[in-house]
Amino acid sequence: MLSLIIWSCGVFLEALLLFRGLRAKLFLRYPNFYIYVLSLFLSDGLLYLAYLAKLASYDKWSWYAGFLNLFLGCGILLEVFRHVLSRYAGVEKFARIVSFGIMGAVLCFAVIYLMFAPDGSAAHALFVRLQRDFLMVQAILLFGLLQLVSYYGISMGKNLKGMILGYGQTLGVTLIALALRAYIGPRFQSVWTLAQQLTYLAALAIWLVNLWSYCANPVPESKIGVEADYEVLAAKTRDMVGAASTQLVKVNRL
Amino acid sequence: MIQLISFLVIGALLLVSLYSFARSSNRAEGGSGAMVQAKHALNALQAGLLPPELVGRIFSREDLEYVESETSEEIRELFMEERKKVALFWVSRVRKQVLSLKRFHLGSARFYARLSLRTELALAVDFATLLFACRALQVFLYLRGPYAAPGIVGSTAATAARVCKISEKSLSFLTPAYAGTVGDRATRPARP
Repeated sequence: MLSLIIWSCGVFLEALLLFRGLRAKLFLRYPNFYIYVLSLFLSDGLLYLAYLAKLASYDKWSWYAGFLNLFLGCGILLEVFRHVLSRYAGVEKFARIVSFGIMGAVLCFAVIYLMFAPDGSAAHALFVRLQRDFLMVQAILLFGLLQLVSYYGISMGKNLKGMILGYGQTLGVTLIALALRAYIGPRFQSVWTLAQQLTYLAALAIWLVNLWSYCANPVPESKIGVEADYEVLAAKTRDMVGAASTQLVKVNRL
Repeated sequence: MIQLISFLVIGALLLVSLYSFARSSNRAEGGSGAMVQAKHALNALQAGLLPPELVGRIFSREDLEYVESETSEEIRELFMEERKKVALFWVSRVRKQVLSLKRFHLGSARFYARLSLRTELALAVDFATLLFACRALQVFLYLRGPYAAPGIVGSTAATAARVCKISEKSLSFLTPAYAGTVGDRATRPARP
């Protein structure tokens, strides 16, 4: 019963999020994110009806929807790349290479495995494993992205910050719960389901608050010279810290 | 078991990162303001913190000898306490200005498409080592006092002076005309 209440609350919040996205014209600004939310809304809404109607095809479609939403969740990371890192050519370059490499590898594995999967139970087993691995990859990417953002002092607007916080907390909690479920076993199933639903509801609430209206990203004041300046900058800074480190090590040995 | 631990660790690390991310400010950094700040840091190091006569005066043994010969034990202890505070304050200021220079490098480097991963990683390690060395020096001064190893002070000042000299070259592309421009922009009120 509690599960059904949370489920219907989730569908309502998704609908509200989509409504605000249309009203505030956020759909056009963050299309990848809203495609993800739309997919969640359609799958949750339709599956809710199928569950109530006790349709036989419910199980099958829930796995398909799970796969689709798992993949579309990357839309949030894409929005961060598009809106924040695009202003910082150097940081964006690193993040793009690493992300596409990891995403591509995981996706290839999923497609090849599905092609050779013998039956439905294999798809279930694949989903559980793939969900864990894919979430792991996304968590590593998001963690790396947050480190880059923090290291280079990149600032973000309320909209993108909300997207990352909402998705990130779901990702972190789901990953921990998945690991515990694999270790504890079926006894953990009810806790796992409740934890997943509650964190998802929390994510929707965070998104709704932060994406109520458009909030632009802070524009960095930059005035850079020619590309050759980077080599000069890097070389000089490197000389500086190298010399200073050597001297300080000597000082500490005194 | 290893898999379980790795999943738990990554999940926990992500949640901790998100917490600090949520607490971070939305201030745009690395623009003209950061360049001016870096220039100020350099000036502060060169003019305010590192002149040999100033450093020599702060850590002068003559003062200690005078206090030891002319005053009571209580005054000597008070003097040592005060000198230790001054020495620690001096190192912390030097460290703070080096941090400012680091922020300047990061604020500038992130805009370049030809940013080199290897160079940036090496620099990150170098900066971390330098800042750690400064911290170690602070601990040393705290534990052994300002007069325990007179060579340390001179060497530190020389090191910081060297840092300044090379930083000055690093900031050389801030030509007088451009530095003036960014200085003017930095003093203007922020745009809404």
